[in-house]
Amino acid sequence: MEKKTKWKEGLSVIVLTILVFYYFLILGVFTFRQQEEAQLFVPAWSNVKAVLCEPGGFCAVAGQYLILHYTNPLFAVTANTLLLVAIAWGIYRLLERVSGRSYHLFLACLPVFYLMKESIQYVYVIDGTIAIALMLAFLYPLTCLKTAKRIAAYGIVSTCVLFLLAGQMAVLYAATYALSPACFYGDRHVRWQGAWSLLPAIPFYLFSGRMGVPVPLSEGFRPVQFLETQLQPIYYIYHVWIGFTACLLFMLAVAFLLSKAACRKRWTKAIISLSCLLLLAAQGINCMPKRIDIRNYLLNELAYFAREKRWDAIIDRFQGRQMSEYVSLNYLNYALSQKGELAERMFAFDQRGPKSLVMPWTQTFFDSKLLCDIHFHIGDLSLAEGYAFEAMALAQREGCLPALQRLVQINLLKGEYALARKYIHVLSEVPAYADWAGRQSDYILHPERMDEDPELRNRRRPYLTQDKLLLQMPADSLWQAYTPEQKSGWEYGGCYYLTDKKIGPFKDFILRSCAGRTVELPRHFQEAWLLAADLDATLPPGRFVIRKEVKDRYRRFRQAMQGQSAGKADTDAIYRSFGDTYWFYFYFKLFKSNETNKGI
Amino acid sequence: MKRTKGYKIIALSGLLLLCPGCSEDLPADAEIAEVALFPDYEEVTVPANIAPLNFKLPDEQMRGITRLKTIHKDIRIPSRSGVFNIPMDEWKEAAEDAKGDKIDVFVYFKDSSNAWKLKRFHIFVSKDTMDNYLTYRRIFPGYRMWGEMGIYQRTVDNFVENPVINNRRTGNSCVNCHSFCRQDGSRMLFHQRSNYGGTYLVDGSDVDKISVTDQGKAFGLAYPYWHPSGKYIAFSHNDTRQDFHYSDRNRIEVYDKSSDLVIYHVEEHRAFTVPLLSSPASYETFPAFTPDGKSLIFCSADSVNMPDEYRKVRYHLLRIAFDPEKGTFGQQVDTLYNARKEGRSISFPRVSPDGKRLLYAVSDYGNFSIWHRDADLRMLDLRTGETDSLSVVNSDDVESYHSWSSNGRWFVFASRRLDGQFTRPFIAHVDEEGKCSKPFLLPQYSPDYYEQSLFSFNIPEFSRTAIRISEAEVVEQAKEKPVREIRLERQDNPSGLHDFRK
Repeated sequence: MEKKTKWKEGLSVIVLTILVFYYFLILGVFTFRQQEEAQLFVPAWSNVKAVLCEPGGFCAVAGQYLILHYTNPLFAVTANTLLLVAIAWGIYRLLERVSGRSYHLFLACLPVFYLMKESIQYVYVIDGTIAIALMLAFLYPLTCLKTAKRIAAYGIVSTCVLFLLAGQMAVLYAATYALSPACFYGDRHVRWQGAWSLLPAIPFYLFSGRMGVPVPLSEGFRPVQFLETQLQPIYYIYHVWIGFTACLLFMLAVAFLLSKAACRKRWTKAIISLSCLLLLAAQGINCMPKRIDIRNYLLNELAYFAREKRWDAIIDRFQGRQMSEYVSLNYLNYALSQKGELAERMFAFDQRGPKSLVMPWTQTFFDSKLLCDIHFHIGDLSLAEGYAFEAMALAQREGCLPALQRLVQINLLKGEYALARKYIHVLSEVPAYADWAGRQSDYILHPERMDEDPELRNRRRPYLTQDKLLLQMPADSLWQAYTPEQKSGWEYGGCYYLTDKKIGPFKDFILRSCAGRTVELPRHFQEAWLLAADLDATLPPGRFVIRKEVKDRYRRFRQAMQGQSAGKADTDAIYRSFGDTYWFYFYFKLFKSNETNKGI
Repeated sequence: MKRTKGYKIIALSGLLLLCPGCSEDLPADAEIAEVALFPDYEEVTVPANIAPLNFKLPDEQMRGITRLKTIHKDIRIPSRSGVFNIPMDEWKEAAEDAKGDKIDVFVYFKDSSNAWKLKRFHIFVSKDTMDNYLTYRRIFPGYRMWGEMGIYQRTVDNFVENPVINNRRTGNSCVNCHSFCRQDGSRMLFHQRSNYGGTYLVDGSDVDKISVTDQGKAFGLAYPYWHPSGKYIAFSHNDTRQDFHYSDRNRIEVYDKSSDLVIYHVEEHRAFTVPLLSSPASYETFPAFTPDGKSLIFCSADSVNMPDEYRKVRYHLLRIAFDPEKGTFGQQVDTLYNARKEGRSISFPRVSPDGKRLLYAVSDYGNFSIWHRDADLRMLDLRTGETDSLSVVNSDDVESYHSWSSNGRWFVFASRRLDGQFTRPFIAHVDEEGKCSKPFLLPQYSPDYYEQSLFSFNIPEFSRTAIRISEAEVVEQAKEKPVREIRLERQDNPSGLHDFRK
């Protein structure tokens, strides 16, 4: 019998491990990566010792230390999986103490599935899971204690110790500890000895502010929408703890009640086991991502690809797809520009006006990082620096390492070496960034070597020498001074006018920026130039060489458009033939605050 | 016999371990050389009640020994990873011994040549005491958004820092503009914005939370200054905007679209303003009472078309008489600094507690000088009218927000000189004749602190005594105490001669 139980337990652990591992691998890996970017944790004793002295400091330090290693996605998935499996095992051992039933293997998974789902939320960090694991580790000895005195004493001591390690988790632990012996023991006197754990827990809850806990546990009862917007992760962690503890207590109660049911007959056991399995399956379905989760997942994936410079992966994601939001379009266009193909291919995708290039800032951490990268890429160092600072301020935990990297680059380019050195010093203390920091410090002594760095090349001088206040400048004036030599900024400038269907300003921009130069315009600029020539007969003929295939295609497009205006053309057919051109965008694309059909 | 010998060895080892400084032999033939120590404490003047001036060598691989010598004391400190941590008790004794005199500092170090070198300098210890507490806000210098910030009080004779309020406890609110009444730690105020918003007046362990309204709308208070009697507080009300430079060495531009001054009567819970302090044709800001309480000095600039003409705004320094008995103002405003004539702009005027000197910040234009690299401090001798350019105090970068110690012998100010971005607190001594000494950076236990910290130190303010109320109490009262709404009284009479007490 024991052998049968052992293999069931072993099999359950294996199955659960695989399930959880792949769940995180498919749905959580990019979120974990974002969490790594949203913290600035320097694993030095001088930083850590003050935090360890605070209630909950151990979990905070352990959590941040683990998140430091999320640069390796497999580590992130594995760490979270192991913790959850350990938690499941802890719950199972508690339930087994109530009675030895095989359906406890299913019941033990229910709280874990809840935790699994919460673990892929960006606002929930692994500190919370570590605290839960500690709670279960502290509960385990209770299953071995027999006497009333020992139960009482252990309850008080363990609650106090857990408060130091995991903060307010001790209050929920005490509540669980108070009720658990009631499920384990028949002796009335022993049953309620667990209540002694409430003796320290009640003051911990009521006077947490005076004990160095910045946020009270009661905040965890607030609506989820409120908790998700809080900068500190502890708010949402409380919410998860409360939910998990409620689930755990419910499982204990169920196990206790079922233990009283007559389970001698096989069919009774089978029905109960099946019910538990169905309940588990229902909870499993509940763990499936919702629409908002999928959206966040996709955005996190884009951010990951951008960080890893996997531009093709970003571009391929959007081939032939309708775009629904500016964030995705910003990533797409940023990727195209990184490959030098923005003005060659952008209109092969579903563009939606100038915000497709640079979206409005919505005061979020995610947007701040993205806009920092885009503006840096274009060459707007001041704006990039501003957004880097916003990302630092909006990060979950004291800073954003990728934003700090950008600040290093920006200050090297500006010649602010003292400041660059400071940021390099901070980064050099974070293991995953130390090598990169070391390479950047070389540029302080040899600034000319920045021209060999693909990210820093040609960015050292500001393109607009006359100072202006940025919020007073029209959006396009940022890029007025760019010339074809600053390809990224120049293409963004031209594409800004094209996406806004402003052919006149586009034409002026091109003539001004290309004055005195022989330039081969990129494809979309050539397409737009032909359009401009049709609209403005005074344009100097032959100013730019237009490729023969572009001219021929434009001729065919005009014929198709003449057919359309005569009511004979097929718009779908036009799209199939010319959907990847600027002309189609100009004549057929609708987006907010834009007039349509400026055509011939 | 063997046991006795063993005990002796143990005792000797213990002595050696406990007395590391004593065991260090100083190199006999060290060549005089230069080395860049951080922080720079060469030839600075410090009070006897300052924490140890721990410093470090430029490279943690370098080995060094520092000798601090006074008349009766001789301390030797070996470096550990290039850092000299001076033992607290020994430092205090040496500083006390060197009061009115100096500490001779000998820094022996080995560089890449592996030969011992020596750098010598002095640290002067003034007889003048300095207030034992320094309160400041620590904040990441974000642009528009903010993250963690807090107001902290540091005891200057050690490294203990206690939070007054940290915004982690108040849902990431913004806290700022703390100010003490005559450097009394038990009477202070600060503002809180976003969550639990209001102006918090702390008296001992009591907190009064106020919010001023003008015609039903919130009238946010900004820069505060206590009247020496503690009965009044002058505030500015600023409509502040922020923008960013495209290609200027100043990153940020902060300007006021309008600003006025308001006086709050603490005991009678009244707020009022008069036309001379709230003219629509000018921007009035940075109020400061004189130590005798009989005048209010403030900055004022002619209003211009903002933001287009932001570079044309230059603040004068003005003074108006004040009757603390009646709470009324004089009918005339005197000009102490004419910005149009001088061509620069004044901010943060502060008269020393002994009434002899006026310290202020000056920059090319505008009022938010902390973001202007050209901002410097100046000191005006109110008896002679002479201005000291404070060349020994100023640097190539920003010097701004300053405050006096209660005896007028020290002032602390915020400077970005270390890296151009993060403000750090520096302290300078002023002697009887008004001569300033080289400022020194507020010491920290680890000399790496400022290099590692990504927080700026804002609004450094001295206080003689510690703040009595605990952070937990402040937070509790912030959450539970109702806001007292005060309606602003706009007095028609230019000097406010109506007795508002009736």
